[in-house]
Amino acid sequence: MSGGFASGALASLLAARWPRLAIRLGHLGVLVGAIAGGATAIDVLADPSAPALRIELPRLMPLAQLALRVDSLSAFFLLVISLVAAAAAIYGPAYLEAHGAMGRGRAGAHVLALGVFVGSMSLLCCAGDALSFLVLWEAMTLASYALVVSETHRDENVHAGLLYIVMAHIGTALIAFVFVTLAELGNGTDFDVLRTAGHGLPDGVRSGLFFAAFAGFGVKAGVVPLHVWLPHAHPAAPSHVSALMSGVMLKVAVYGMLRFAFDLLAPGGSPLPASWGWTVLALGTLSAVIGVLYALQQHDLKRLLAFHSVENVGIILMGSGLAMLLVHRGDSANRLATLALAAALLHTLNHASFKGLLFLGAGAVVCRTHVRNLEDLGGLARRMPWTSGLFLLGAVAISALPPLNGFVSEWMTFQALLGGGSQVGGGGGLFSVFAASMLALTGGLAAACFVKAFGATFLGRPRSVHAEAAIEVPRSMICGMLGLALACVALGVVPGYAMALLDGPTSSLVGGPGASAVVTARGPLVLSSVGGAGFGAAIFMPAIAILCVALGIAAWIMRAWPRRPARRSAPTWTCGFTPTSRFDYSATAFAKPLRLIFALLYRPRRQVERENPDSPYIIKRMRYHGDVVDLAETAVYHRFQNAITSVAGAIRARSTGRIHGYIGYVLITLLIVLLLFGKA
Amino acid sequence: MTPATATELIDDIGGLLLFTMILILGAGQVYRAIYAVAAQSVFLGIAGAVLAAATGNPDLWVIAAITIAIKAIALPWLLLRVVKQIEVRLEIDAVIPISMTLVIAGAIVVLSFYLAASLGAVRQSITGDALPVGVALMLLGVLVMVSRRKALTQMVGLFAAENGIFFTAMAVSQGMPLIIEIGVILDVILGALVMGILVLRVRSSVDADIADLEELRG
Amino acid sequence: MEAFEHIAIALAQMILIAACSPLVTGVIQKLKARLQCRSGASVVQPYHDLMKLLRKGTVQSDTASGMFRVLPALVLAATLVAATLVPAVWVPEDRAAAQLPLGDAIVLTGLLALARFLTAIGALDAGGAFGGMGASREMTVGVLVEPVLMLVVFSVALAGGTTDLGRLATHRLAVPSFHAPDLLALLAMLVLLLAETGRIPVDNPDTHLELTMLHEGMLLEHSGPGLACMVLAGHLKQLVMISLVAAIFLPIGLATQLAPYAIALALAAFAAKVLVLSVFLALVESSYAKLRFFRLPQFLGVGFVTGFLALSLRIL
Repeated sequence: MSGGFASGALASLLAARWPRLAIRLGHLGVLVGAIAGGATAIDVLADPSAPALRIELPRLMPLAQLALRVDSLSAFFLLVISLVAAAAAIYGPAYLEAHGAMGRGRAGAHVLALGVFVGSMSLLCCAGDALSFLVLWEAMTLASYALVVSETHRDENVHAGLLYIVMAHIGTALIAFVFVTLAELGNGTDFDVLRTAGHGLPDGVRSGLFFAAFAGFGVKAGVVPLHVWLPHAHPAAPSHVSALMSGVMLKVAVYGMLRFAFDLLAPGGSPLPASWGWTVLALGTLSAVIGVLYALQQHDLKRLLAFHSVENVGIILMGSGLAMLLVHRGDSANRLATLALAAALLHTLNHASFKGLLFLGAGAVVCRTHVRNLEDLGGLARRMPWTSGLFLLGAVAISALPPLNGFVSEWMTFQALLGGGSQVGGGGGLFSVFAASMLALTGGLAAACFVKAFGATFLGRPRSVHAEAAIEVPRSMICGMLGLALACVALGVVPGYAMALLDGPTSSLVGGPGASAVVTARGPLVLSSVGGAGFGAAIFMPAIAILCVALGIAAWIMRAWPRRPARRSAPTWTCGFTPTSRFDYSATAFAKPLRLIFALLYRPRRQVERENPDSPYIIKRMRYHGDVVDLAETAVYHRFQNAITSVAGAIRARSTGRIHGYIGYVLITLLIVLLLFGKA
Repeated sequence: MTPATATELIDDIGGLLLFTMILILGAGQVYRAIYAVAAQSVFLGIAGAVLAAATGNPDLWVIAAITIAIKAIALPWLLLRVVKQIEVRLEIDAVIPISMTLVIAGAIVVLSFYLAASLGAVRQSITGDALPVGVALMLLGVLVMVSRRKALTQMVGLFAAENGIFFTAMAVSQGMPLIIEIGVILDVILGALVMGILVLRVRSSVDADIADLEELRG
Repeated sequence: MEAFEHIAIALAQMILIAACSPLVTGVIQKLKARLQCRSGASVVQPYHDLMKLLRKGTVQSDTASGMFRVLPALVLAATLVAATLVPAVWVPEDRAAAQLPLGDAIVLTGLLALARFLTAIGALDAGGAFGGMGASREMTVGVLVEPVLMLVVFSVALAGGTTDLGRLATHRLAVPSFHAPDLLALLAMLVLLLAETGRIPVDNPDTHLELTMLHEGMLLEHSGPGLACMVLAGHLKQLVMISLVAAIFLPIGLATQLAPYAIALALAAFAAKVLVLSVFLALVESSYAKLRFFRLPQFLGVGFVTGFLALSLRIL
């Protein structure tokens, strides 16, 4: 598996002189690696009872034994990564060629970074000890940084990259702190050693470590309020890399969080502290609502999608938080925990498929129009029918509408939240059910957002010459999208078959019989939440899909029933004027009602300039500029930044610029450290 | 009527009282708020009648009758008259946006359940949700007074808060002594009269509302 | 065999709802006309309108894409599937043992949301300001409605222990209760009913002025059979919402066996319930003015807080 990535990366280095060849070979390597990874993952997942696959690496480093270890949780995330990586590898070469702007050296470097990025993500999920985890984590961060700034001709990319790397390293520091503390206690870096060390921790320390790890992974996953880097960095990368960052890299952080919460830091068999579950559930709900609310007000197609990743990570966290809350608290609670965790993991897979699809679709638009602003697009449905159809499919899936996959995992999350609500009762139960209604709000907002995004991009008239001249993308790009689209449909119509994949991870994390015994207890076609005395319901997705299609066909036939209707085409009704593209409803206008309703949160700014040279009543031209601010960015980060700047200013005043001055500071620091810690 | 059915009915009426309170909070126009508070008083009167039938206490019949006569008919009529006389703008002037008030209202209800639960011994002696609902009604009435600018709407809030107190008293102790109840109602009437006359006077002499009085400070 | 029977009955109920839905609209219009001292059109007028539309040719906007013609059929299909899920007349006695679970409340709201989504996509397809404006407003209403609907459903579902509509209905048939949470949930649901059926405080179904339309604005570019599909979907959605209220709050009279007299009784009960709710809609529509669009958050906010109260009273 890693061989594929490595050979791809190396081949691209060798072939750096011939950019086309480098790109082809590099992506081929990624594809091979992804297929190998997927095969390994399915192999492990198919037999949940088998012991974890363990590979001891030769002693490369003097300090520690490095090991790779593929248990079922790792395998599941490996599968998610492989799915999107394979699609991106098929899609990538044509995209890079069509998008242009790839010089000779740059192509090689780009593909090298891609290989390192995908490879380190895949291996990260299989890391068996702290040291390799941290090294791979860092490699993943740096490679993705390189990809973000790969289009360096833009200032904003450099800025986004800087913000990303600073935030990511704060996260890395927190994770490293947790690892080091555990390694210190257990006197070793292997996960088995860490786990034994984790079992015996006092409660306060355990929770402290968990929250540090959660914050560290939260930065990477884009949990509100740690999300500010995400909407800047993800759109800056090339589109298939955005798909990987948004669809997959966030999941690696989720993997890390689950690994810590249920495995390394868990008190082995007894319930996790309640504060963990509530925190994760509350922050997940917050991320879901805030993420989609900000997504709604974006004009940049890719940034809109990036904000939706914040939302979907929030939904995943809602399921995970509920699972943390209910795990090992009796039999029926444990079944609910299984349901919640299965919902979270299924949503992980689902999000990877539809978000990957949407980013690839957005990439197709960008590579044909070179425009990301929604206001300059439009009318592409007639010019790029395949892309628009597939993007629409992804939009339906992400808006959690039946019969596609987004709905299935949200249905399971709903059931878990309701079941949890009636299980916990009291204020906590009320919060859990309230979170479910916020999930419904999220679904509604996502639907509104994707009507806007799809409508402004693909429907109506083209609003710029770029959109006017667009043509359909090459076949290999469509194939990449088609693969993910098929995954969306399959996971939506027959989700029961995917439950078998979740057996291993759920039973190893939560204990008990695993997902398929709980969710597909009534055969693989029927999904049911916990039945019996507890809260329960069931859905039969294939029937809904079949009915939708059959009735759609019936309605289609009915249209032509009394007689075949005559058809003619005419301009759109615009009160008698000749319609132009300026009559179309713009994306900004579409989101305006919600901007006003949630004005308290958005703090919208608007600027209207009127040109009326002759008379105040006759307006010749109007210019509107509207904007919303990210409250977390302005209220927290800008203040933080100002504080750092002022501290830096204070330090500058103490900087003499002379070398002995600095040596003097070093001497003083040394003395202080010796005085503090030297006694022991 | 058995005590169990009475408790159930009182609970149901508590739900309706809460709903009318939400209507008062969500009302965009003054007269809707007045109608809603009148409806609330009618429900309160019915609650009194239910309790009277259940306990056989004749005082409660009197109180129910007085509640309906004065709070559901006389006072709303007075308020509507004032509205007509001063031709106040029909839209309610809110200090806090109405949708925000509704969110706060939800929080207050949850809070009052906690407050009621913390009363432990008292809570256990009363079946049903009457106590937390009563507390919530009282607090929401005060919320109306806090969040509205015009004197008339504040009057509505006062009535609503007072309804909450009545409801709590009825549910908790099967009603206060008759003389106190009548005294309280007289107080409210007096308050309404003073407020009404004040509004009319201020309006006719300086053409300003009570809310503008804050500009008087030095 | 049982599975086929279930599907057959669900489809029969769907056909019943689909066949009656224009009539319900006609009845509401007639009631409204009588309340306003007009004689009004006949109650079967909506059928005539539909037939007229089916016979007409189509005029399609020259900017619309290929999917513009398919969307009406899909919208109608999604609404029809939603109609199969509501237990309008018949509900099996032991729903838990049923082979095929048809009728989850969350699926129902999901399907209605799907219909809304596709309608809005169709509205944007032709370009032009009116479709866009209608779509934007309709999606905004959808955003405000969905959490309230879910709160109401959840507060009822917690008592019944399931979100399956059939099992909820049988539960309430067995344990009829009208406690405070049920009352509040019903009141919240009535607020919602006005919004979801596009009735007056929220939308005006009779308007022909482009700027005031929500739902009608989105249909502006459709014509002929396509428009017929959209209009029928509108009637259907209204009756589906009405039957939903009837099924989870007033399940009295639902048939649990397939005996002819039970079915006849259930049909009569269904007709009575629908009539009561139609009178409610007509009354509200005749006595209120349409709200300004930006007052809607307040109106639906009342629904939201009421639903939240229902939930709190249920769970605390």
